[in-house]
Amino acid sequence: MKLVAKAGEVPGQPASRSLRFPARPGRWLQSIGPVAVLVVLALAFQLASHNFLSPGNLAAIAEAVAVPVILATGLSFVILLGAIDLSLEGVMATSSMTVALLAANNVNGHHWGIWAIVAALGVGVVFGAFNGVLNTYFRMPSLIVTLGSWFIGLGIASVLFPSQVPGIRDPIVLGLASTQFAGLSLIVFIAVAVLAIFHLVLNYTHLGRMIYAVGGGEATLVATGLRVPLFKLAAFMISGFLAALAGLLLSAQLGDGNADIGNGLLFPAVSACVLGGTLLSGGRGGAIQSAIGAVILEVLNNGLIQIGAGPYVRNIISGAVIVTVVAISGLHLRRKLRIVK
Amino acid sequence: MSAFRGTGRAEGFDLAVALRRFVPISVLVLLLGASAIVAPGTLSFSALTGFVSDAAPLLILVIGSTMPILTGSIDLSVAGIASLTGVLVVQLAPIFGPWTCLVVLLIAIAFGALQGFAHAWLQIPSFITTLGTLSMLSGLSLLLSNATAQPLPDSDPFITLLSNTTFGIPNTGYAVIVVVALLALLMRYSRIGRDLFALGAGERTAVMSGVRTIRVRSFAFASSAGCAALAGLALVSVTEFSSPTLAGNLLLLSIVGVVLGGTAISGGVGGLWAGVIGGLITAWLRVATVLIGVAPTAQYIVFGIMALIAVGLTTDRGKIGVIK
Repeated sequence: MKLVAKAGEVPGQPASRSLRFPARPGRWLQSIGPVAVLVVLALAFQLASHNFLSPGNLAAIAEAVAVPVILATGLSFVILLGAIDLSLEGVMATSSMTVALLAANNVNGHHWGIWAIVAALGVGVVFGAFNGVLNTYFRMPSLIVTLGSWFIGLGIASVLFPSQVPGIRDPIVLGLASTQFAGLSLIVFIAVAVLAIFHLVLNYTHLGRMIYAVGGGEATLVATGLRVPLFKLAAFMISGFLAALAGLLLSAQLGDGNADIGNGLLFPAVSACVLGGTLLSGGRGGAIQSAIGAVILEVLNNGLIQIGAGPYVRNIISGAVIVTVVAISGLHLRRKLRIVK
Repeated sequence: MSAFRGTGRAEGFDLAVALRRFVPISVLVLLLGASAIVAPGTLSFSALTGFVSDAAPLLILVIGSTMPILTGSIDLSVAGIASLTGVLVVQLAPIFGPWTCLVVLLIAIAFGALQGFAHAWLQIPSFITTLGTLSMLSGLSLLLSNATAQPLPDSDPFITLLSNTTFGIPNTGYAVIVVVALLALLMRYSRIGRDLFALGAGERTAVMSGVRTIRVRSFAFASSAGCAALAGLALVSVTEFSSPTLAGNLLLLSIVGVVLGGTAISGGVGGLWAGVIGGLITAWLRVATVLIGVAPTAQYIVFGIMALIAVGLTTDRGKIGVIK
């Protein structure tokens, strides 16, 4: 029990912290801010285009935001450590090709059915473990490790790519995208379930508390003798698993395997985490916050398209958002002599 | 050149330092020798001139990327800058006429300086600053070019100069020499060279000794952006088309090149010469993978693994307490 209390003292969960100290207005603003931004944006777009808040458009936003939410949830685990996972796009590419080639398809004779899904998710876990082992046991910066595995993932997907685009024919895999409940596809419900499960993992398990603690002060935690590398490894594996899930769901949606399936999804995922209040230095934020960030980006994207801005503006905005938000959230630390590489 | 090598540990014989110094050059020699045996034609004059025009953009990119990495930062936006350069040349040609390339180069240098300033003054980690700008730059190139490849204005004097050959050697090869000479002179005869190493070797100490971090970082990022723009120009001088995704796959290659030459990603160790060697190894590896029959699609895997091995061997782990 003593251990748990200690983890709470290191910049741990916002809840336990605000119980201990009188809440400062900055903290309060940080947690309520993203939601306020979301509401303001939605109202502004409703005023500008009048059908923004229609049920049809809200459903479209929910469909579009499902995969970014899954990616942001996984990435949160790694960012909470203070590390980064750039390999999402590579993992998605490999998992997409894996499921397309192992499930019933129009290129080869495999029809693994549900095991194709398991294999695709397994690919993600393996990538995560690879990143985690190199980062923790071989002591290499996560930035470089995951940059390398990003390209390794893309390479594996291109090598696996057969002579023609592998179209998925498996009813189970396709059913992930085509099954509808209450006007929303199964993907949306999977995203909600993933968010709920991993929110619980972060907040109510030993692993979750340790991930916050590693981000808050890794050196201290190492000194306590806890097996820090294991927690970091687990975070990378969760991130890889969810990236593979995202690749799988997008392939089900598209109906074929594609090496470019994750193209352009990494930056929005990082900016979603940052925008939701998950600090890149680690230790603060969470899955729900990152998901709210992802919804803000999608609302912005959807609204901009309704207003008439082009499709490429999205990259520019998410890039600008990352830099601006990180700059503002770090402003109060400028007085200290910090070493920022 | 030896003056630009790491100032990390001066006294005594250190095996790790010696390895870092001599392994890259031996690897290069071995690679050249091996490919000469496998395919004797690769070392003929015509094959080598082909190699020069193929390798020059990558070499310039690697030399540029070396500068921020020497200070312990990293510039991920180089591929974005190189791609945008080609697009800008097409877009701005009607306005600036023969001066377009110069204007684009200056824009890139100013952008890089601004980026370095933002990173150092606002204290935003460099990887996130440049990841953000990479996203913005690639969005901007897609937006400006409407995601299509466009032919270059054929009268542009600078691009014509780059695409020509002198004494049978492509002019882009001379451009590499000019860039290296310029940066080498700057680093040798101004304090900025020593400041770069000082920041990378121990930033707190450097700050306490009066090194102006913001200025040095701005210089490092300005030179990396300037080199990236020049690399972009060298690329479009070969293809004669500008494409918004032209340099997309050069990001990883440029970082691989830096670390293969023996410049440590943790900063303070390495230098221009290491950049040149690393760039040559990477460019030659790209040729060699084709020679031994690795499919072009599998090159990503080879370079990803090469990057991991090189970083694993060259990172000075003693310097970083906690590896993030």
